[in-house]
Amino acid sequence: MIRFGDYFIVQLKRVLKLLPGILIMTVVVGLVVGAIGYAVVNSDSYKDQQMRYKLGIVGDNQDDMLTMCVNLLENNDDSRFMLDIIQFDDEELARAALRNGEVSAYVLITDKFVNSLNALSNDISLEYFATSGQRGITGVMMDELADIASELVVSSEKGLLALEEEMRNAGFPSEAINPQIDQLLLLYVGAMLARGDMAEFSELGLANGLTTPEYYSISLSLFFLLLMSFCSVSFFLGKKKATYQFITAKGLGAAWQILAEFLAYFLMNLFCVELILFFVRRLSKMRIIPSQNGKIIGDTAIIKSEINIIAVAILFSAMGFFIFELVTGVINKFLAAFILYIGMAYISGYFYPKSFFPDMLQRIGRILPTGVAFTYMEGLHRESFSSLVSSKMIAGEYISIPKYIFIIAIYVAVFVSGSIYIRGRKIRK
Amino acid sequence: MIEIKGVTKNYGKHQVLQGVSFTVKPGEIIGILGANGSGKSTLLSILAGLEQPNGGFFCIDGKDLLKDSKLRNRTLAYVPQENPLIEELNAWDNLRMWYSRGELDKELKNGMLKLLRIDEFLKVPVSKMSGGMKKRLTIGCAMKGGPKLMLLDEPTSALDMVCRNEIYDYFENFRSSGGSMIISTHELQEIELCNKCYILKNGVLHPYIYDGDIQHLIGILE
Repeated sequence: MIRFGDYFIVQLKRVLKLLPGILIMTVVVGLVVGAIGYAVVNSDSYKDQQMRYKLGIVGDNQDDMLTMCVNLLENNDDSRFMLDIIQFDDEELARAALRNGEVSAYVLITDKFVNSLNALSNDISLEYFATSGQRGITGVMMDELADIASELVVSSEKGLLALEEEMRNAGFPSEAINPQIDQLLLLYVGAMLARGDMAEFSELGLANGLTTPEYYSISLSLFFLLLMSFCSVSFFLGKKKATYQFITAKGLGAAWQILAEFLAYFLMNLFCVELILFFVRRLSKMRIIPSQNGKIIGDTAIIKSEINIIAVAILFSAMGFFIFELVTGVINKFLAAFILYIGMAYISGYFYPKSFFPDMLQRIGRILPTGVAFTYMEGLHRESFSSLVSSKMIAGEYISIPKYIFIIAIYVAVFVSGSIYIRGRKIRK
Repeated sequence: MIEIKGVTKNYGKHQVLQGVSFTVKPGEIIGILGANGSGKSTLLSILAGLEQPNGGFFCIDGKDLLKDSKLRNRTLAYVPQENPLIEELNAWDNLRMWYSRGELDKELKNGMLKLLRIDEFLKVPVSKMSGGMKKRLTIGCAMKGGPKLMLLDEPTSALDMVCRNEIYDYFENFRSSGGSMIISTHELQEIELCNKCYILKNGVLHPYIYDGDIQHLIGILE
């Protein structure tokens, strides 16, 4: 009788023999994915000049001051870019539109802000929310609002001077006009120009509160984990039906064979991932990787990574194992896995923000293993940062980590059971 | 006494085995002949527990091995036609899956593994072994636990004469120690080793006595 432990040890021995080649492949893939990540995070591709922005305005439609603000925004829309103004009655609608990509950003004009303007105290900031997918808009909006402020000041100054003229024409004495006009001018100019914070800018993130670097560092880390299946495909080469039958005839059935092989395969993948993480941390500490990028890769994306990554590693290992068990032939294995991974990664938003896709595709992408892994990582990210930043910065729905661990466990069980079924069929015929 | 009685196997409407029955005495070698696709490998797979039959018994000393998998695992050694060894590992590592270290040392010193001369290539990776070495190592692995019956699926196909003779020597040794064998074969040399032969044709097992007339045998198989 062959025991499970003996077969598992044999699989570990196989892993040791294959590991050098797998590690080299892993490092190469890691470098390629890392380079892509670096390029995406540091890209200037979101050129604001080339984009047409749709800006949401949230506030009371009936308010004169708000109407004036909207008009000013539209009228100041010069040749550098074009703004479409969409008004929303409440912030939830604006936030939903932002998530769905219907608007690039929205400005929250509260009653307090309007009242403060009316009272000329002007001590309340606008609240401006944007996704970082359109990073340029933040700077553009700052410039635009500065323009508006300047225009307001200039126009107001003209208005006040016109008022002075009218008062003179009406026969008011200079002693009565000058102090009042000067006071008005000083008050208005003081209110507008003394402010360094015309608006407060908040990034709601590319998807459910993730900024561009966070989003792509998670998606590319996950894509790297997916690609690791290619690196370790040699584990599945050279395995033969005769071996399965030979071992089954001595009492170790399909289920135990698969469990032993899967465990060894998973440990191999996990070892490679942890090794990569270790070096990323080391390079980050040595400042060979820029600290910001090092932080993104080493800490932000894979929070408490050594432990948290296990759930994703086991999910992707199980999926890879199932595909390689199902498909026969080296080239077929590569092709099937490659096409599936690229497709699933694309739909799950690894290459483009999910919000760019239609609703149906977003829903499908979310329930795929790749989507589940993404949401899990996203949830970890929020869990880790919720205590560090104000809740305002953490937009999007609540993600339950235990729920996603449970879903991952179900997927793993399905993939492993599927592999056992396939192995059983191979043994029988 | 080993008794195979009324074994049947269907794949859908196709009946591969129809009530296959025969007995094997201790020290006997049974040859199963048949054309390609006649069901020889299926019969051995059923006896080895890899496939479930649609009916029949496979008894040893009155106990049905089709129902008692633990007894079957102890009693049988199944040697598939293809090489079942793990290619990346050497002979030692392959054997360690089957034998404890102590058992291995003992067997290599003066046991069955010594007889198969496996000690001569312990450190050679399977990928660099000759066909004969692989077959000897496969038999060495399968024989763990001292089984009474060997099931061999075309054991010497694609082996050269020297390798074949080495394997046959081991078969003779096993037989002389009271072991029984059921061999699925096309090889005349193996047929000559057998005490009894059967031809499997259209799912039915027919007794056959080889008298040296190869043309007659070919005619029956066709």
